[in-house]
Amino acid sequence: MITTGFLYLVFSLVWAVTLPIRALSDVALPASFTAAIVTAGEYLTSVEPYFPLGTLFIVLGWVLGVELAIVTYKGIMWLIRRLPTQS
Amino acid sequence: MGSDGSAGQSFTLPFDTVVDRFTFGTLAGAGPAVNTYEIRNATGTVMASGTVSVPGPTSAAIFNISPVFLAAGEYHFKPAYISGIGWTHIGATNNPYPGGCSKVYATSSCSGNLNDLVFTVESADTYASGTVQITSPQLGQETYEFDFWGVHAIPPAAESLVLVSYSASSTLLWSASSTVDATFLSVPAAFTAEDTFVVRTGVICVTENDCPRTMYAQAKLVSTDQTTEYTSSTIISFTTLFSFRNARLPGEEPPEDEACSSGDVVADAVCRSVRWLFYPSPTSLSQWSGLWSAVKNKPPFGYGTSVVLALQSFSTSTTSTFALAPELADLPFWDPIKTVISFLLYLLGIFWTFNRARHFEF
Repeated sequence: MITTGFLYLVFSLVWAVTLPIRALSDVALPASFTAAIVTAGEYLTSVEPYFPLGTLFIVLGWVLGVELAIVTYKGIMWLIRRLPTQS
Repeated sequence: MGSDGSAGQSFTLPFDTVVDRFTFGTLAGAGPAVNTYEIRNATGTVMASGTVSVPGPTSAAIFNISPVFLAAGEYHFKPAYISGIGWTHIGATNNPYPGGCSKVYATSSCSGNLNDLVFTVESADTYASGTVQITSPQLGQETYEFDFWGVHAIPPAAESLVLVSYSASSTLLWSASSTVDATFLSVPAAFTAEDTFVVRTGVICVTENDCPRTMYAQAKLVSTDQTTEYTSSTIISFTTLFSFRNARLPGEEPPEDEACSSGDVVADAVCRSVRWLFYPSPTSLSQWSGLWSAVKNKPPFGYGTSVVLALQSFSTSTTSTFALAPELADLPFWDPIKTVISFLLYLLGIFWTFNRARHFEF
């Protein structure tokens, strides 16, 4: 009951905060953006016979994931240091 | 639909054809005439009959007959002369089946006159070229709705659109059916059916194992007895909600709470009290996924969602209108070179990770 009530309370707050966002129209990217992505994919596909693009994407994804984790950690620590009695 | 054919010529009609006309283009010298006709099936049973007036003289004798729907099979159209100008009736009795002149022909000669016509109506199985399509349901907490529609040639009998769902392991979880509206059965037009399935949550998932996060659905058009499948949709996937887990079939008793069933009455009572106080309800958890669904396409989150979707299509692109030195692509040494480059990339990634961790400041 307590946990459930707390979750409902938090959800209600988040639901209220996101109300202006939910009232907006859905995002529709311009067709040229999608076309650019497709064209870039076609160029990259032509390189695939000579270069391991799959491996490159895996390593890049790993690097981005690590950097995202570090930024998240630093953001949380920054918030904690804003609390009273925390330095 | 009319049927054009010269005397003695056999032809094939599509499955959903209504026969309403026979045209004999090679008839010559016939004046106005009154004729009877019969359409018999392969066993001689009369499927349709009547009297028609053939105008003339003309090069084409058109038999406009009462529209008749014919099931798949072989049929014989048998015209028979009664009276008219320039026609001679020589057939003494019903000349059953094709070959040569039968009962009606022009006076000039037998060749090219009205003969029995043999024609075939294709079966639905071979003619079926329609499709059934299905769209993914919208996320909801209680029910899922599937929109599906079909375009298909069907026989003049009740048919069913059946929606079936499969788990990731292709195990049939549940099925539902909807009889196609009778108005779609009118011939000769192929039907277009639109319907919606509403599936109750509790019917889909009984145990957690039955309830994968990703489920699959497919719509099929089958005969009423479900022995013949005419066509089916592609399989679509959709994501279930957390509230699907541990749902019960209608009327089924809730499972005993194993967490608070030690046998000690006092301990179990305390256990249940604590769980009642602190254990979150499934609904309080599942509502969060609904929140994400509500905002994922809105700014600013929608930009990220759209870019991710675009990048997914980017990474799965397999066709290319560009080719970089295609004459070199088939040379055998590229595979070992790519293997070496892959190894170096992984090594670089490991080295970078190690170096990043070594210089990280907590």
